[in-house]
Amino acid sequence: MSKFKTISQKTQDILSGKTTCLKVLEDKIDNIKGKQEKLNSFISLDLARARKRAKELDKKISKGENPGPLTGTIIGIKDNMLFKGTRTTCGSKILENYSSPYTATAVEKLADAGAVIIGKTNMDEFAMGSSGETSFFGPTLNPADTQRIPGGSSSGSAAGVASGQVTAALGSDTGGSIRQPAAMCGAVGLKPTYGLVSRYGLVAFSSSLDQIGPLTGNVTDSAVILNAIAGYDRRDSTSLDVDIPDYTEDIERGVKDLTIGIPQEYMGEGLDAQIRERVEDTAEKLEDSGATIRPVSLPLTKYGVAVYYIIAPAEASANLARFDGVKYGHRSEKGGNLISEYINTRSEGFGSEVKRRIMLGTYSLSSGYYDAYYLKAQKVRNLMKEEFEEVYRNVDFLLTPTSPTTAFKLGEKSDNPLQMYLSDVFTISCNLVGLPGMNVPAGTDSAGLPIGMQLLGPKLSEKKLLRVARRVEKFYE
Amino acid sequence: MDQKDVEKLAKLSRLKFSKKEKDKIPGQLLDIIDYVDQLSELDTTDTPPMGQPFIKNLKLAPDKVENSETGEDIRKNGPDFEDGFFKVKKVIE
Repeated sequence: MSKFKTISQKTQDILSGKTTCLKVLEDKIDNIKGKQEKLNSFISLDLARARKRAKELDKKISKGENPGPLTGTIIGIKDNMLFKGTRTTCGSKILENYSSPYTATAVEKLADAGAVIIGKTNMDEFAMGSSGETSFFGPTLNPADTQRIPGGSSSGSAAGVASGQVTAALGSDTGGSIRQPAAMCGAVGLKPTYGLVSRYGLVAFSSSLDQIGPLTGNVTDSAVILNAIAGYDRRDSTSLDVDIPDYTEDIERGVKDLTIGIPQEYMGEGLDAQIRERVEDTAEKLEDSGATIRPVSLPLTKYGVAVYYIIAPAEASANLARFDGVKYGHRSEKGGNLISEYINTRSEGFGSEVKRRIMLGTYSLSSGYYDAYYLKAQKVRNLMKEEFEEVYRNVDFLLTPTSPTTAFKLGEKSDNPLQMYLSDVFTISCNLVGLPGMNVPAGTDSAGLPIGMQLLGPKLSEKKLLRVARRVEKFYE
Repeated sequence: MDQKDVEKLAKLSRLKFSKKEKDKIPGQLLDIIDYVDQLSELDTTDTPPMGQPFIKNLKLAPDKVENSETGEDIRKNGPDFEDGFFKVKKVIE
């Protein structure tokens, strides 16, 4: 068992009367505040509300009620998900004062399971970034080394979990935004199958790619959070109407009957040597644990970033058209007619990465370029899906590095957008094809920076995927 | 891509840029466009486009109006709201 208590063990301590929700929270408050000053992992913290909530839960427990499997669990929510009574800024000036009019389904489900939500975590503006640096509210720093980025875009969720501010956090993953920061900070991050977790109340970035998932300190907790948030929601038209298993069941069962593929395209040029060795080491250990390891090939991998940087900006340019100063938050005071008010509002409200992507998306959707870019990308996306389906006929799961490098220095890639985009090369494909993937921490490099293993699986394979992840986690505990 | 293209995209995007930003944008966009151009080497003649990952297991919600209690909360986020309407600048002179 891990040296840290799992959510279920902590909840058991509360339900059995060993401690209380309020005491668990109070014991953490100094840590939460101290780390906030150091890391800037939250955009808003509401500890008064959290205290009130903890007291309510304790009252229920004292009456003999069981508030649920997440009783007293301290959780942070990425600031692109609505939680009524909080601001939802998306890390942007344009939504600086936007007040959540309702609560996102995933957040509501956590609350219904007994969680104590303490605030909204920092993020790249509108989830566009791989380093946490594009947030209007300043960058989040990596708990392992504060000179370095924590990854992105779920930067605050990853840093909050890795630093112990929160037991778990929700993130969203459009091209790796849960898994990549989890890898860089040393947390477990799961991007579920597209449609498994409702996105009702998640501010849309790229609607055919976005998915909500958990960041946690261990794999078992990831399963516990997924149990709470997965499931059909009629308020999200892409929500899958499927049976939800108990993701914690069989999690300790190991990998004996499983075949795991290593895609050669993920092990080539540009991959840090220590990360490559760690993948090979993990593969050997999986083999020693009874799994069959097989090299496989996904030749279209190298086109993933190109497909993504057509589709995601195109969808973003459409989704972000709604921010015009009429219905939400920031409105320019510069005057002029309605059109110039739109232009001024958007130009003042959006940061440069968001503007760049809107421009790029507008380009690939514009007359004369649509077929060559957007339509072409959608076709290649289909080829990639077929390629993954073919590979999963021969193997159960794939093992890859999550990121080609460990956490880089703040500012290192800020002036070179393409270089920044390429840091997502291993995480992007799984969003394009809608399949689940997760990051599992696998120790550190020689500089003490976290290394992450990525596990990818077929549609709705989360239960077994968590089983493999649990085994990988054990190798490096 | 030149300044004229950037002007056109900016207009379509309802964005404007400072002189300094304007000088940087064509280079950065071109870098990315050159990079994504590699897709043209793939033959996709017989491949249909894929708009979203899954069609199976989706279902339609009943076509029924339901009460929403969020009306006031949504309205109060509007910078200028009066008599049930969001107010904007005069559209027709």
